Amino acid sequence: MEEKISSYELFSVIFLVPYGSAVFFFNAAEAEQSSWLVILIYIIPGLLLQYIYISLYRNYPEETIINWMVDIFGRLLGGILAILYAVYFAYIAARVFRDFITIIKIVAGFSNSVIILNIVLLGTVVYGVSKGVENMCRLASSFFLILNMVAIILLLLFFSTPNIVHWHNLLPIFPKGIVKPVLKSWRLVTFPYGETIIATMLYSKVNNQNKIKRAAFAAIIVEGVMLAFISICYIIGLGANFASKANFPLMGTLRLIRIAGFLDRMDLFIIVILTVNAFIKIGMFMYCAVASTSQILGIKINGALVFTMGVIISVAAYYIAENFIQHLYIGLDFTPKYIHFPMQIFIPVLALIVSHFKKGSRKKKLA
Amino acid sequence: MKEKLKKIASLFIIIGIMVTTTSCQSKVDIQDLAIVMAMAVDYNDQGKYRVVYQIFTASTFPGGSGVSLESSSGGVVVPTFQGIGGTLAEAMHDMEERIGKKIHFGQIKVVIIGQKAGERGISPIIDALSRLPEIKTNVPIYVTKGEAKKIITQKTHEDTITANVIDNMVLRQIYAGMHPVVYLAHIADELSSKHNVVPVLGVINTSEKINVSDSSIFKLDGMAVFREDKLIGYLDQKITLGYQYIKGDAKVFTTPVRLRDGHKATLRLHGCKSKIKTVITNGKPEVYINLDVKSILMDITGERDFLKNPELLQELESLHEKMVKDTVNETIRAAKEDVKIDFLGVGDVIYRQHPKEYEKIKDKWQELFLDVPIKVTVNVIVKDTGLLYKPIY
Repeated sequence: MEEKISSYELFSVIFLVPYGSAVFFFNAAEAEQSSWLVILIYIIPGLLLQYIYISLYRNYPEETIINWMVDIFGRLLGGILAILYAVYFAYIAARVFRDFITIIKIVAGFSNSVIILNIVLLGTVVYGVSKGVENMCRLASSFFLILNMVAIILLLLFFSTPNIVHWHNLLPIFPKGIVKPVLKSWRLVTFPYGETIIATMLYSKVNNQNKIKRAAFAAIIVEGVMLAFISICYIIGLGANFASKANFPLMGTLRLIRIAGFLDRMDLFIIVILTVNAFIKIGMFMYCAVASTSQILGIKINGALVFTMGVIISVAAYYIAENFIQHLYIGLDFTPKYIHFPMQIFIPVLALIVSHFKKGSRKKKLA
Repeated sequence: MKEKLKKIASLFIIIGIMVTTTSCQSKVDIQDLAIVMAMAVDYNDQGKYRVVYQIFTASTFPGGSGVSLESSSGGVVVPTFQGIGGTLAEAMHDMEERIGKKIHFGQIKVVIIGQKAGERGISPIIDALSRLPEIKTNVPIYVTKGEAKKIITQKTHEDTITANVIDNMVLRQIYAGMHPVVYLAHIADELSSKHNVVPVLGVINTSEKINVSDSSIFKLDGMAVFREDKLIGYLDQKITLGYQYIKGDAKVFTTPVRLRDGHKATLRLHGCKSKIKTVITNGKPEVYINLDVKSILMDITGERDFLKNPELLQELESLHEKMVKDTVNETIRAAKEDVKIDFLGVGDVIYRQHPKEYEKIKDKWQELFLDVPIKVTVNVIVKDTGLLYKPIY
């Protein structure tokens, strides 16, 4: 039986996957107090990326990015690129896994050996992925509602706490001109917006093919608005200077909440958000890695493949960086430039151009 | 049969996972935690930091488990511990072995910085505190004249835990707004700002005993001003009030007003809105502070029927306006002449309103501030006169 997902489920996945870890960081910290505007501006490149992916998909319907590469670049080059994409998905899953493990360790004061955390978190993910993408997407769509409800509760609590909201922190808007900070924050294209590349593995599974574009674009816009709003909360709560120095501004901001002298320490909510986000995000990237591997090898997705991928990801998560600061440094400097940029932007654009010419020549031959 | 076996096996696996992954390995009982309620930071003559904690234990309360510590004069004593170290973090963990428990900073209610530590510079202190993974960002930071240790070891009548008394005072101040309440996140943000922000912190002192019928132990006593991160001076209560007016944080407190015919009245403030406008002409900034104050009448002497002639309220309003204006002008004078530093945050307002012009005057702002004309306009509305419209006598 072929797996099918609805357009709403596609929307939730495209929203949740980049949002999952972007919500924990102060995005576009270079722009300081104008970061929320920069995030909003970068919705446009985010939409453009989705447009590129969807146009590619329209040329090769019923297929995933792995098949596109082989179709467009031929068996050898396309095969290499397809393998690269499989590795890429696994690498991002490992990166995200490392992110979440560190955050959970710090937020929850987890002093156990990490192996237990590893088993609990990745075991669930492996189980989820082995149950198929349809279930994962359905879970994402219900988590979308839960997470938004939690976010609304937290926002109400945040804004009703006295003495913590400083709206004047938002000023001045772009003190040194709009161009420089926007160009400086180019990494926003790759993260969070570029992570929507996982959608290329899902388009073919959507039951109503006409609604793909609408769902994807809506997800990107909601994503940008939500992240911008969270950025505003960081700035008015912690201040742009402190938020850009803090490792986890979300935690700092939620810890400001104190109502009537007793309602405080919203850490529990953070852990709920964290585990749910971690499950969806790692799960989707792992699914992409598993699905692309299975397509390359020409086998069906089975438990052994998922389990192997889980082990690979958990081991890789240890070895991608020595400590968390190095991990963040790689994530902010090396990965966007040399991994995200080619995989998310350069190769798809190149593929679109090549496929366009190929289509043209095919038409000529037919004529 | 095979199905059944499979089910039983999976049941055992589930139970196995449940039992082995509950993280009992790192469990911490509440009795094994040394919960820090308040923390005092001093800098001693040997050039080392001295940290004193007030620790909450289950035995702090009568009825709690464990042996309660009775002092010689009766009553329960809350344990305090002291640590000394070259850096703050070293001092903070120096007493760990003597406590014999894990120090938990999650419930810390207040951090008090002694005068010497403040003069030495608060940046390392705020940095060390902000790094703690479990600390809340809304811990209020206070400065005290003299040693901070004195505040923490002070015995109070209301509560065995001093930190709770201070916490109540802080919560009240958030509502009243007579003194600034500065949280860890805000002071950290101000210290890392590059725009001539002058950090201020509230001051807490032990109150001199006025008489036996007043059992208050602490009093909030104005505020402390810092240059970069070094304590340079204290401001008294009246000047602090002017600062709170300018910031728009003044909320609910009573002020006496002397009427023109010698009678007296008391007004209770019910909110204050502050708008600061800055104009820059030829590189010379001018500042206009506009205050909107709402108040209600608490008491008044003399024959005044407000229902018959409502103009009487206007007299009250103009008197209150003058009072607020005098208070604010006094604060501005103190900033310009006494401490000679822009603790009012005028430079910050100029940066937010005119970022480009501010860039030019940024480096010499503190000297420039001394000559900046600041005009204050106050508008008071007396909203009502309580439940009476004329005095009962």
